[in-house]
Amino acid sequence: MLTSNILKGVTKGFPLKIKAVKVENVSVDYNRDFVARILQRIEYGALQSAVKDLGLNESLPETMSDAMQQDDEFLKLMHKVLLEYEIEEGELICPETGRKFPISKGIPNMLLQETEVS
Amino acid sequence: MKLKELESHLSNVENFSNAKEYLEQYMTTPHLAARMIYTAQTQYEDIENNLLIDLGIGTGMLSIASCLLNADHVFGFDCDPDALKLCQSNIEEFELESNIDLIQADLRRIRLPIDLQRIKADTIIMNPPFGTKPFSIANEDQDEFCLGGIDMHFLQHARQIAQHSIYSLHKTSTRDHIYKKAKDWNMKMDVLAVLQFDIAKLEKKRPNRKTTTTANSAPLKAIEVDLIRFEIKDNMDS
Repeated sequence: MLTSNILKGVTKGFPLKIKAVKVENVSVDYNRDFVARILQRIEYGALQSAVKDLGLNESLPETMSDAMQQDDEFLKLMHKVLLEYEIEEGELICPETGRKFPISKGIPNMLLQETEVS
Repeated sequence: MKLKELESHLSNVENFSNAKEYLEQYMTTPHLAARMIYTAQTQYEDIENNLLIDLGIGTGMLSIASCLLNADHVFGFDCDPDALKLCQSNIEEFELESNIDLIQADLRRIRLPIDLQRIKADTIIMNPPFGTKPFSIANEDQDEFCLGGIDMHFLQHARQIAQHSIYSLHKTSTRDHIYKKAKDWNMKMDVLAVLQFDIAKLEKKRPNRKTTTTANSAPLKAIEVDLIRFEIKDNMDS
């Protein structure tokens, strides 16, 4: 899930829509400092879209305030959403062009075809 | 963790069984990787609690070394599915699945599929191809691919996504050129060490190695390689 927050499409195309075929739940040790640090870098709106795309049963607050970034409950939720959902199979879809990038064994394939160079 | 301990852990990283010559795949040795990442941490504190990107991750050696020294997270890029598969298995061996995320992308391209506005890694780690081998991309669009100076191309990518510093390896013979580029790209450059790189020997270990016909590859025994740290000067957006 974390990865989906940094990738984009051929030109702009962010955030990529996620179509998940197989999602794995993994258990990761909670590291409060790490989550707090990473939250400063992610695009919260994109994460919300990703959660929606996956149809996860997690309710994310509408906005993320500074105070929330100190809140343990919220950080634990972020930890879970960012690190404990692994998309094993599926695809990322560019919102602008509709170009699909397959995800196989957890690795998104962002290789482009010759015809796609801009 | 001590340096020797780090190196010893890294000796468990599995090497390429069938390295691809046109991609200049060869493993960063445990010895080299340990020194590179250990120096980055102990002298500059560029690893622990940092977000890293590994360009041309290969076996995962540098990323795994970084995670053993408590890097926050690594995004690793490589174009080769076989390398990514091997890398994934190495990551699993070290139980670092939640620390390293892999992305398949071609770094020879001009653009990276990363949102440069949004993500800046603190530190970039890489052992780029040196551009001594021709690329087998004859039919590709020349504007889109970088044909020569592939290591400089990697460095340019790194420059765009690095917030703070870049650790990379380059041929000592190209040092002057790199100094010039570093200056152009507004980076401070320090050569931390000069290392002997026995590429010929590494290549001999490859089981299916074909005999090369390229003229300049014949007498190549050991080449000198600089371990370089680049520091980004303008941090306008931080």
